[in-house]
Amino acid sequence: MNRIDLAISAIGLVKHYDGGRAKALDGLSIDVAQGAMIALVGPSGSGKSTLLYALAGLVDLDVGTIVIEGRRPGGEADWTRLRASTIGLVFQESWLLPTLTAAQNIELPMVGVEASARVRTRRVEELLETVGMAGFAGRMPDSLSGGERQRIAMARSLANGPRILLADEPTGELDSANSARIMEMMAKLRAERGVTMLIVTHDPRMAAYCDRRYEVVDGTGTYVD
Amino acid sequence: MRRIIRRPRSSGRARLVAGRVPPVAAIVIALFLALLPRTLLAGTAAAEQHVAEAMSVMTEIARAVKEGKGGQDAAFRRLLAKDFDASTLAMASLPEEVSESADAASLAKYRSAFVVYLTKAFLEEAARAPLYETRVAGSRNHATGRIIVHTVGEAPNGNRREGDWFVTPGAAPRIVDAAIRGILLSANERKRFARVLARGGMSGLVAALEKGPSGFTGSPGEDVWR
Repeated sequence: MNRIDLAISAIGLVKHYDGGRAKALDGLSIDVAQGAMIALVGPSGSGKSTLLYALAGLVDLDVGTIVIEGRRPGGEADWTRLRASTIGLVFQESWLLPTLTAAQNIELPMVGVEASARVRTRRVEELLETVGMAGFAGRMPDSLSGGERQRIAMARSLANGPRILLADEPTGELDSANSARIMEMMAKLRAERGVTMLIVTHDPRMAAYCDRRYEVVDGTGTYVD
Repeated sequence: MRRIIRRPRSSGRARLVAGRVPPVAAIVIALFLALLPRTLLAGTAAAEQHVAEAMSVMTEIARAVKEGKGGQDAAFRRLLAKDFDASTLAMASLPEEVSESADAASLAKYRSAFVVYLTKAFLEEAARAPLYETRVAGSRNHATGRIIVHTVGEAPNGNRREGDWFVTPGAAPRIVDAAIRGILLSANERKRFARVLARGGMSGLVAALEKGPSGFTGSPGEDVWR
């Protein structure tokens, strides 16, 4: 039988920091359907970001199972492959390389993945269009506003066509107009491309763009609406 | 000088226009015209149309429930029979080790109880939730060969409910699964059924399913239809 796989299924995740003294994840489980847009909410220090980075294979879990699109990544090489092809990451800060243009920043993740320079260039143009930044290809990061930099970062995260986007407070440093613009863009990406999104946010207005809120408290969590 | 007068040669199209169509050609043309819409619609357009029609029926059922009109369980069962592949959905809602090891008779009982459960779950939620007017917003292909039809539902109170409907391709599409507000129906039910299966086996699950959602009080899982 051909079952429909979840985009993400995490079961019983446990993570301690500080030699076991600080518990970040305490048996947390979460299922996320393909194409879902989920807000990860909860107080500071509750484990939201640890969960997000665990789902990208960037946290060495004490215990727990993570299944991405029906497959359990076997090790670091698998996770690296997933991050290069399936999982995109967006952070609170854009982390654009200051010495590269907007286009070069977007192209960077494709180097080593897509051999054809012509294909890379075309995809950069498409991505700039997608994030509403056509015409900004040659601009340097320090000449862009915070919202523009974040949109370039978003384009960079989409460079290799990920099916899952993990975003850690992508609007955390933006004013409300730019935040709304970013969230509208993310909602459009999900609706048009079916990109699954997990978004850490403290802002209820941003969470309102999502299908549901998943609340993380003391390292465990549940869907709250 | 002799004038050569060319009479136009009668082409097949001309004969068609003139209405002088040979019987065999008429049958071929009639068959072509009858099959044309389905052929053109095969693929995402057919899937979108199928989901749009199913959404319309679901909205009407939900409206009737809110108006206190009876008989909606029969209407929902008809919808399941006509527009869904409830059997595939039922099997996907079982843990794999159970669906592979259970005997045919108990699986048949389970599938039948699953329809009862799904009907009760939808009708109970329809009574509670706001009435969503749902439209198809697009579609895309899925790795399994199914077509995902994306829908957006809007309620009078401003609530939005987006859904992804997994539809078999071809001229007779069927919905095999759905993700509503980010929760995949089969995976959610699998989680919900697992605890009851562990306690009471397949007979316990069938008994719980026949009670509807109340048979799973305390089990994990979300209210998918909300």
